[in-house]
Amino acid sequence: MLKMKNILKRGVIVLIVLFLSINIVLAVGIKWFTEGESVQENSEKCINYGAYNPSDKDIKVKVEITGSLNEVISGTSFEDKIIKANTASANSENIKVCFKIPKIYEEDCWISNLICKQECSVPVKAYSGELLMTEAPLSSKIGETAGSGATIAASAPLALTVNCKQHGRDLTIIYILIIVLVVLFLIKHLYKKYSKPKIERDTAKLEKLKQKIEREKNKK
Amino acid sequence: MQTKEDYITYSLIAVLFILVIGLVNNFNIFSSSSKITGAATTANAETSATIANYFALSLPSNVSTDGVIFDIQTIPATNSNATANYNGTSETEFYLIVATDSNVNVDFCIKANGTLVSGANEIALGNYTYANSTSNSITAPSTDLTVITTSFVNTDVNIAAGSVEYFRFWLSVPASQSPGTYTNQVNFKGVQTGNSC
Repeated sequence: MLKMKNILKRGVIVLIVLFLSINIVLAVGIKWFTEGESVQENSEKCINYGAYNPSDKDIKVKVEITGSLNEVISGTSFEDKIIKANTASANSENIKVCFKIPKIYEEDCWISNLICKQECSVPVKAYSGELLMTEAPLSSKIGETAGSGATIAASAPLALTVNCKQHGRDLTIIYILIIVLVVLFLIKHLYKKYSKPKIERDTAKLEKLKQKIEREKNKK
Repeated sequence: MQTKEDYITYSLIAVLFILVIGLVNNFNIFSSSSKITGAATTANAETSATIANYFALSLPSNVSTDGVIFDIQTIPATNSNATANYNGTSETEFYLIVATDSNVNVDFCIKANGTLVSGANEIALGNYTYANSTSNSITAPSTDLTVITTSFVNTDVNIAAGSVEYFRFWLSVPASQSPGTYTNQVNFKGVQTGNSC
């Protein structure tokens, strides 16, 4: 009787273990706050995502970017990361994904990169794709005859539109150059004028005045 | 009495004044947007609202770790069942769940990364098929087979949180196929309903 009870106990334990091992479910979750952003050229834009795992088992998540976003990706806060079991969306692990936007719109410049204007006559540039969080199996086993490893991924779309800032020709450098020239000329002129002693300047002034009076008298 | 030098000096100062005004104007320091007239004052308060979307996909760990297994002992084989298609019961063990901790509906997508390969030998993807359904029985997913491709395609759309999508897989092997362990990878992806795969 006791032997029977022991066998039954063992059987129940084996069944429970088998049940749990079959029904353990893996999960990968993604949380996103934006699907489209306006960005400036020659700048870096970072976007935060959340990764979560509502299942009862830890998972390893791999972050991937698809589409033309790959041209401007500058790094993620992690490549592969273990997300603990029972992580709810409210407590998701933060993933920071950064994009480095290059100079897109050519400017019309007079000299090298100076005195430029931007007419924004070309079509607006946009980078698009998706951010994929893939559950990378912690271990994998493939069938003896034929089979496929399986992965699951959760994705969020993203489009980055690069702003074109329209502006007229920037004449600042020309203004500054002319101001500097005028100031130099003014300094030179004032120096020349005030470098002589006052008595000499007044004498010269008096001489010129006498000549003017003489000319006026001759006219009469 | 004003001399010629004095006139030059005054002219230069006038030119300088005009140039400085021009430079200031070039910087748009006095743009209309920044003008406040009379006794008016302004106060600005920024409004910010963050809306997050989220969803999670789950699959049984035996599928994640073992994958889709075919145990084919006799060839040619036509639409040979994956071992978990029925697994001695009337139900399939392949399924994806949209976790209850999701606030959007999900479209499911499926693809394979390439042909089934064993060394230099291959089994074409045209021989690899699947069926999917939101119910699980001896007849569903049905034997209405769809070939797996290397690009993601929709299997089902608008799956709500807590709902399940079931799959069955089949493989056909021609008589001329060399023996071996043929492998590839099947990828399942979830996208928010309305987005393309």
